Amino acid sequence: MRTGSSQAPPRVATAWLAGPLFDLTFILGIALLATVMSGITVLWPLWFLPMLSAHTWLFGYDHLLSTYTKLAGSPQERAKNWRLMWLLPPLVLLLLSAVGKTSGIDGLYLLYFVGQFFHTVRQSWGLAQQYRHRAGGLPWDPVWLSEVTLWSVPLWGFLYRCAQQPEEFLYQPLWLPKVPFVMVKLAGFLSAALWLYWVYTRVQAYRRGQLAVGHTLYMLSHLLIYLGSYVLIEEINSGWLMVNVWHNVQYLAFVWQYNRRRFASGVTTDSRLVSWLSQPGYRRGVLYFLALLAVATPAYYLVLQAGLGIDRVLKQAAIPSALVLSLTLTVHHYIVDGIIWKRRHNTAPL
Amino acid sequence: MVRRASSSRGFFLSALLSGGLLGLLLAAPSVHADMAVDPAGGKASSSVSEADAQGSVKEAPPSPCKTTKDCQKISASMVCVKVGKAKQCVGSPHRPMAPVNT
Repeated sequence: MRTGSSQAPPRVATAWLAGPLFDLTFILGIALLATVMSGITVLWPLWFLPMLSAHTWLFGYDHLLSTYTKLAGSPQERAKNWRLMWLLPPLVLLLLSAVGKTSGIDGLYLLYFVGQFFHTVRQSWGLAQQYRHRAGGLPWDPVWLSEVTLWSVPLWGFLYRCAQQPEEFLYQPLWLPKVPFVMVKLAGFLSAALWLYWVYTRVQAYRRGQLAVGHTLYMLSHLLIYLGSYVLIEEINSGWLMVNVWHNVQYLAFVWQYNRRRFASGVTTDSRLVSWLSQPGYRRGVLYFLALLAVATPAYYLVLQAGLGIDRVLKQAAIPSALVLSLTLTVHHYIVDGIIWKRRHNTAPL
Repeated sequence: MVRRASSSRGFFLSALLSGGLLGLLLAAPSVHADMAVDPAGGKASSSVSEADAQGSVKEAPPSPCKTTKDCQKISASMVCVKVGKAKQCVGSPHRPMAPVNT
């Protein structure tokens, strides 16, 4: 005689951040865009410079600007974050000027290479955590193991770049510590083992009916992007482009979605512009992106021109001031981003 | 829900379309330019637009290089890029001054 309990068929929970259209575009569409842009530069290296320009002006500068919709989008935020807005930038500028004086352009580019590596991986971890929370926390998936698994591919790739010893990065000399290839292989082996275990746990979760599609797809996209950009693509610039297009467009889209949610009740008087741009509708989505471009493009143009002007006045060319100023905004973004998006600094859900 | 979906589509489409358009605009002059360099004279050839305007600028032999420093002896706007199996100096009117923005 059979017992009465019938086994339920496997089921999955999507657990999207916003909805299938947004999330599938966010996870698959942006990864595809990054792969295509980088892939073109792998196949035709002469396309790297135009692609870099397009990436810088379309996704780079406005992605930095979009930080300010969260840092200083309302009077309350401006009051709360005034130190980050006014005290931090001169401190960063001083620090970078000191690095430039002591280590030259090599030191600045090393700092940038390490900084952007850490920043992009940490953002990816933050997004993976967002998907985890949407899926109810995934109690069967230890957070520490997930974090180690997520970091393992970028670290493997970073070690690979160190072993490669590229002479240049973005056409400037780059120094990286020498790492033996055996260490790279070991890191690759450990990462492969972690990811195989990760796949095994997803299959098990699917059988139990606990698979979270959003989190799973996001983790897979992370794996493929870092594997492609730091391990499979030989050329450091094309690899950098891949991960950075992915990172910047993701950031733009995530912050836009965050603004959509926080201004879902309508236009507010204390954040009139950002809340108006964040209202629903096809045209508003377009205007939001164009507004970022309209502010970021001339602002960065002025920053770069100011750098050239300073160099002319000071008659110095050892370290271009445009580089130090631009890098100041970037490092400021790294630090601010590591603070304002933390859950403990946000009473409302992100 | 429908408005939300159409809004998402709008945001991504505008980002992708403007990206594609600007990419093509930027790419057109620099990819077609042969970035001719006269290694014997040690000077870069005339600018890309001048070369295009003249219509029939002869391709100069490529300048081999190891790093961008080698190319900058020829012209400050040149960089060392792998073309095929070898690296050579190429110039671009769009060389960014400080692409450290992510």
